[in-house]
Amino acid sequence: MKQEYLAQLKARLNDYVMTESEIEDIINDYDQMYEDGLSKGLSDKEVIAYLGTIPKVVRELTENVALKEERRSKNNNKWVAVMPFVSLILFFALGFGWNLWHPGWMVFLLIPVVAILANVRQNAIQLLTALSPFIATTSFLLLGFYYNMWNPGWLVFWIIPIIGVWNDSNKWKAFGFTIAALVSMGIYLYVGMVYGDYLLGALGFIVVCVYGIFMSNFKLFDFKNSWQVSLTVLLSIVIYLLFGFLFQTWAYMWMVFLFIPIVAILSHAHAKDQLVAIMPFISTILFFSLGFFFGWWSFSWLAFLLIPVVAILKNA
Amino acid sequence: MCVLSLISKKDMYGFEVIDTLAKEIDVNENTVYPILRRLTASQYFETYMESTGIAAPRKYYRITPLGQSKMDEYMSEWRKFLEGVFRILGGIVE
Repeated sequence: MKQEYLAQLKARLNDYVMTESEIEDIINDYDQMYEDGLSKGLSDKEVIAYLGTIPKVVRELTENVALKEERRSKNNNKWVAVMPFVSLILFFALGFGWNLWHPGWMVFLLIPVVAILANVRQNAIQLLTALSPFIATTSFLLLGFYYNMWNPGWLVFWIIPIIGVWNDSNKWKAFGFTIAALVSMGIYLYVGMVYGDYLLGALGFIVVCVYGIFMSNFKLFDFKNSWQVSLTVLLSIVIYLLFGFLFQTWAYMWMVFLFIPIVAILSHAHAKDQLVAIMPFISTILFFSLGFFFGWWSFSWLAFLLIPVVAILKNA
Repeated sequence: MCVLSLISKKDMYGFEVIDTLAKEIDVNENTVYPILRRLTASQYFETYMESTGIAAPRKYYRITPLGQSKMDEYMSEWRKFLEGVFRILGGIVE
């Protein structure tokens, strides 16, 4: 009970801007006070009532720290708010200066990227996971527009689940998934390029699907705890390939892959944070759809303004 | 002020402060340790470790000269406040 209490306290304090030694000092003090309580003949329940429940203790201990977080968040939000204008200036400079309207419009992808950099305050893998849809989108569009490699260029979207599984604590399973995904992509590319039959090569993805189903505690194919995400991954691959082969929709159907992070956010994030978190993806879909289908590239970038606008309205 | 006063009389460890306060006044126990930390950070207290035999050494809190002068200041304000209250309500002021 004591270890559980201290572990919970430590985990909650880690969410705040505190040094490691500060947290250790607090944990040692609570460890000592807990022991003192027990040695006085109090039960665990009584000791906790004396010392305070975790939320109450954390609230008291982080009174000033919480303010620092808020200030940092406000500073970060300034960057998010200013990015549409920075991107617009860059876009005009590239367009008027070097006639690079295309692919200069891609600077607007900086808006969601900066929003993610400003708001994800976790480790490198989590940051990379949040950025992976935009890294994949940028790479995919460059491959498509410059080399007409819409297929098999779409394979870059596999970096989203591959980086995502490395958030799992079991690194061996993540390693296994990475290998399975690479083998699947290898089969797809080999059959597609050597025999010219990508449709047949798509059967290679059976490897990663089978692996995912067997290792069902994975976030990617976690049918028990996260069936919505698993279903979205499978459906998006099926839809992309099916429509691609049937109607040659490679150049725009890639947007279905953006539904993977959207569904993951809707399944796991707190309700109050969901809209802000999914806005970078919604904006990207709006931006690309308006530009691609109607040729409105010159102002479809306005869709990215939704990111700071929604964030500001939510915090208002 | 109660925490300052208790420790000015005798060096105490964390649980002892909570226990003593809880016996005397209706206090929200979970606020006591954060108060101890804040007062220590403000240099009103200093800490030292003292061996307790077989158990792990305990952290004791000792009032500093700065803490003592702060407590005197608070006590003086508190007495003035009480005098005012007693004058209005009636009662004995020492």
